[in-house]
Amino acid sequence: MSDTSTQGIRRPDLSDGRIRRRYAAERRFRFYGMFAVGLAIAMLAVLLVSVCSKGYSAFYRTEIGLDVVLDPAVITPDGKKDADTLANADYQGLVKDTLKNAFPEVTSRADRKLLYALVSNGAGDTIRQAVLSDPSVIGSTKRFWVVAADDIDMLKKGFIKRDVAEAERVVPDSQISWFDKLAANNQIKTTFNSTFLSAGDSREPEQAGVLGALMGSIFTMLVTVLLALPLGVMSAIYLEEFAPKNRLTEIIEVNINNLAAVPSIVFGLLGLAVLLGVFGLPRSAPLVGGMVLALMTLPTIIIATRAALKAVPPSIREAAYGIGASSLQVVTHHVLPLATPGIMTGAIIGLARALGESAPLLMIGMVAFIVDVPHGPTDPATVLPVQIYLWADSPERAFVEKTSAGIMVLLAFLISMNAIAIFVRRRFERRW
Amino acid sequence: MLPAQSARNRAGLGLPSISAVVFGAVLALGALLPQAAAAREQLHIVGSSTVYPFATAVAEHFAQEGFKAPVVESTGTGGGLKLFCGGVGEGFPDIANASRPIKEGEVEACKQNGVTDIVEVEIGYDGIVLAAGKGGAPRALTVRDLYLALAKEVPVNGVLLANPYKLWSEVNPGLPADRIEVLGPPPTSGTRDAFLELVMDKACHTFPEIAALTDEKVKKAKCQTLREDGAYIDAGENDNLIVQKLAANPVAFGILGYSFLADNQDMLQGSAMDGVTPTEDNIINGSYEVARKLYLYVKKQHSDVVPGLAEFVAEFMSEKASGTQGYLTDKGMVPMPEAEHAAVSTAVLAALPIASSLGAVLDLGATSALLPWIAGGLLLLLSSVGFQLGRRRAFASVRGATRQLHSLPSYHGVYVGLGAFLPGALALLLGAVTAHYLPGDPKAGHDVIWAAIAAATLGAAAIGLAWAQRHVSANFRARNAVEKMTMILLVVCSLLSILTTVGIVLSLVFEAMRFFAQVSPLEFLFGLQWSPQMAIRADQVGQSGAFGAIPVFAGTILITIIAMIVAVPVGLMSAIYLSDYASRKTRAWAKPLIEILAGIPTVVYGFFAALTVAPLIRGMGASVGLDVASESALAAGLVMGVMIIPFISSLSDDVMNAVPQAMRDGSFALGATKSETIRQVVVPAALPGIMGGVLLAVSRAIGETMIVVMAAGLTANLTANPLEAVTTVTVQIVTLLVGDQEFDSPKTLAAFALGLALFVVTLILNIVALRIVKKYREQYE
Repeated sequence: MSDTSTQGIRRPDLSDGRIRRRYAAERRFRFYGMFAVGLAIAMLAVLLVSVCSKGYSAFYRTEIGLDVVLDPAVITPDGKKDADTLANADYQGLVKDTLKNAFPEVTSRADRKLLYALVSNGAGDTIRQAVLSDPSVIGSTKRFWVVAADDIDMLKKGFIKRDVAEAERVVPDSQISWFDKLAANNQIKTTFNSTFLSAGDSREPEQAGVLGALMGSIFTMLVTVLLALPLGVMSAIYLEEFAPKNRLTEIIEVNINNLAAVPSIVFGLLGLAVLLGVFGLPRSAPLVGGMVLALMTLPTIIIATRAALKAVPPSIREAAYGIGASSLQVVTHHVLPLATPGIMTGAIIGLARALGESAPLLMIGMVAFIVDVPHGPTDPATVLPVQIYLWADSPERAFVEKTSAGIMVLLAFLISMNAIAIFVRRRFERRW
Repeated sequence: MLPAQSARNRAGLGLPSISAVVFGAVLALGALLPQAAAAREQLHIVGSSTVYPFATAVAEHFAQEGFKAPVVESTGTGGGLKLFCGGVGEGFPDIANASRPIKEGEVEACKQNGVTDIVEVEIGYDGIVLAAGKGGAPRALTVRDLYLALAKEVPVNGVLLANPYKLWSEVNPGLPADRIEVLGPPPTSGTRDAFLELVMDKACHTFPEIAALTDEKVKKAKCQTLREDGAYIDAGENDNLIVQKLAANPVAFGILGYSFLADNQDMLQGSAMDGVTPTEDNIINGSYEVARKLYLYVKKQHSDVVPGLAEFVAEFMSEKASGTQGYLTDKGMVPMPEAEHAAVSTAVLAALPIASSLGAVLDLGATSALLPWIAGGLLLLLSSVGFQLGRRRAFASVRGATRQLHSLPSYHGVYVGLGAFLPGALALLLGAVTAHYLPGDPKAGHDVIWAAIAAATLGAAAIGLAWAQRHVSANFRARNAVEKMTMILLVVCSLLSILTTVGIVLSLVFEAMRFFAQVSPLEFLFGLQWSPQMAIRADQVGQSGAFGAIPVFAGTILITIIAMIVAVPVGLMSAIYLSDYASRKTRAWAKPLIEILAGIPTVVYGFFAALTVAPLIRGMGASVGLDVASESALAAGLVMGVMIIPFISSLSDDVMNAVPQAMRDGSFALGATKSETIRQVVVPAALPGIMGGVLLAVSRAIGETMIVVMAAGLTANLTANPLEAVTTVTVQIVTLLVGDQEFDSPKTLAAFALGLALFVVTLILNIVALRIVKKYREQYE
């Protein structure tokens, strides 16, 4: 009795060579999977480490402490203390005078020029702000911490080496000796670089900031999301759920796949010809940039959404039809919520690409030098990747760390944008 | 309170809310239009990337003097002049920067568009230096050495032969026996043009073999054609990249702007040219002769369009900016000699007098800027009122017994809401467009026009609301009506992609036709040589200009294949691991991490490929005795592969995750191991989705621009060897479009032809792929 029952079931014999081979294959397969994930994450780590190790230093800066005599004769030459006079006084001149008095041994014109080049062109702004906020300081002597010039900053951070011959160094020996003297007097300190996060672009590295580009990116992405996500999802719903399978929908389908392969700069040409040319929208505006990027992102979102809709099992649809739902109700009440994780994946990837894109913006004027921080989607603006590209092309050494720091800001923006979509995805993700 | 509250919430989700977002977005964009038409307050400057660092420095100083900071674009000289010559008015730039003088054809094009009054301003010089990394011994060259090393054909023993020299010592016995390797700007660059003129042409005429040529055109062509066998490497416009490459490769020389040498003296050494070292003093006093003039072109007709035009030019030409001690010299510009500078700036001040008072710029007041928004907001408000009214009326018509209604009350609500919204939105958009195109001064009657538009909008919405409200009754098929409207909306959305395609084709086709009028389509499609070395300036003659697109496409395909070899296995295996092996927790953090790879700006990948991966591959190749190009296809392809991993992994993961667990369970029950289940059940079931992801990734690889711009070469080699440098379609398009050449030369127009060809090629690929997917597609469950 027991004999017959055990004969019917074949137990796997773990010592069997075939089984061992199958299990080994299983382990290998699993290892490949882990290896692939590990590889992808290792690449990410390499990229992130290389960016952050170059960029972190841009978040602090060197400042020089100067005891500035707030001479009324310079600030208010005609004795009036109205805002206009105070705002337009020659504060940079005050800084220069202070340096001149601190190093009386420097007399020749060329040397003076080098001496003044220790501090940033914008050093006077620090004093201007102090005077404007409290005009009563005029006449006194106060210590101001002014921003050092980019080369001095690079020297302090060690990116300009002291041990190379003077002829090969951007900072001459004389400047180094002055710098050392200031450092010995505790007139040099390092602080958090607030300018980098609060200013627009500048040709002087120490005055350049990322805020203008960041705001530009935010406005651009806002326009892109508002257009691309609903339009993409709706086209995908139509094509996947409702469209009759005929020549026209086939053309549309091929066409969408094809649009995904169109080089991004061609979308820029389209924007130039249609949005700027026909509709007369302004150049360099995030509004236009967002529209162009939305057109570029649409195919990605449509393809991903269609794949996600396709993946919802037919049984769900049939059950809904079974209780009398209309075809639109089936889609909106059941299929769409279940497809949301996949849609979000498509949106994340598509928008991430749009966020990092710079080529199409060239044609519509967003590869530009813009000092003012934009306040709306129609103000001239640039975006983060373009800013990074422009900085990367600048000769000044101090822009190297700014470039990497710009990338860090862009990544932070990207990750926070992704976080929202991932949150949505995790709420809906499930398996049958 | 209401019995069907939950039902309303259900139907209130989904499509109606999506459509509300779309309508809101469309309205917001419509409302932005009038704002966009507001007067431009800042100068708009376009043009050469060489002048860009100087123009931006002046722009910043100019802004400190109380003007609004000008917007300075870096578009390349040709692209800048094209925009500049586009017309007169706020939509067109005020100043074009140029690294070459304007051409006859461009002046003509300007005139045709009404730009008749152009002032040319010479601002200074750009020193072009030859530099090498610090590692090698300092080498002093003569222009003669350079000519012999770089010309395509050189005189050898009295006859012109294809350049036989491989080593510097063969050119001049006094030089070391290093390989000739010069990184320089591409044929579209004004810097290259100047190099040809100032070095190659000059040296060439010292040879009797050349002097013996009688035909001037042949002579020039012989003198100004660079060799294309890899000794001269087109290295793109990013000079910092060249600096890094030189630092890593001490044998190579680079052709750079002087400012890059000045700022990188610890990494680079400038080579003396004919015994003169490139120092600031030598360039300014004229003894270092390799420098070219830079220009501004100012649209005088804009003096009363935008405030500050003359003031900006005056600032540019002031002693403290472009003078011998000016701040532009710190940025690397080489100033004109004092006397010349004084003469030029006086002439410019005379041509562009600073007006004593500016015409008052009309500013849109706060209220009138808000009017469009108010109109849109009111419309949305009215629509939601319509929704409530419709719903309540539906309830009222059956006294709360919702079962007697054909459609749920919220469908009646949506119907009435849409009834208000659609006519209102139509009125608003029509109004906005009419206001935009209204003849005369658009700002004069702005308030009145917009008040009228708002009134019309609300009127139309109210009429629509009343009309829709009358339909609501127990038997009214509101759901069907709403669904019909939604369906129309869906169809319109999916037609948008067709419109985009039509737009792209139209914006490419006209320029491509002009290209094909100059270059035969047969040569373009089947030609095996791509080297658009054509004249940039009028007094030059055509060098070799071959427009055979085959090598360019072959390069694209090669790099795409390499990228896919990286991305497909890694992406697919990651997806399998994440969907079937990894725990929920691992999946939750690993998937988003991998997705970050897709979001890293391609500029970053480009630098990574050019500065880290390419030298690594080159070093590895050298250690096993392989000769690897510094811009190998392998480096660009590998890095691009990393970038597109998430395209495959995330999309495949989603579709595999969606394969029903029941199918896996069935396979397990038959005794299959997990890997067997995945390979034989899950992957085949998910294949259409996976293919979709792979196709998307291929498309992305073909269309990717910045990585290849930085890491791939510009020289078109027809090769299947991944260790050689190739170029891609996108690289060529970008380089051609942002170059300094004339904008209707075949060189620029070729970009459009390439774009069109790429479009057609990918179209064919996609049709084939779709057929294949259809054939093998399996529907499970």
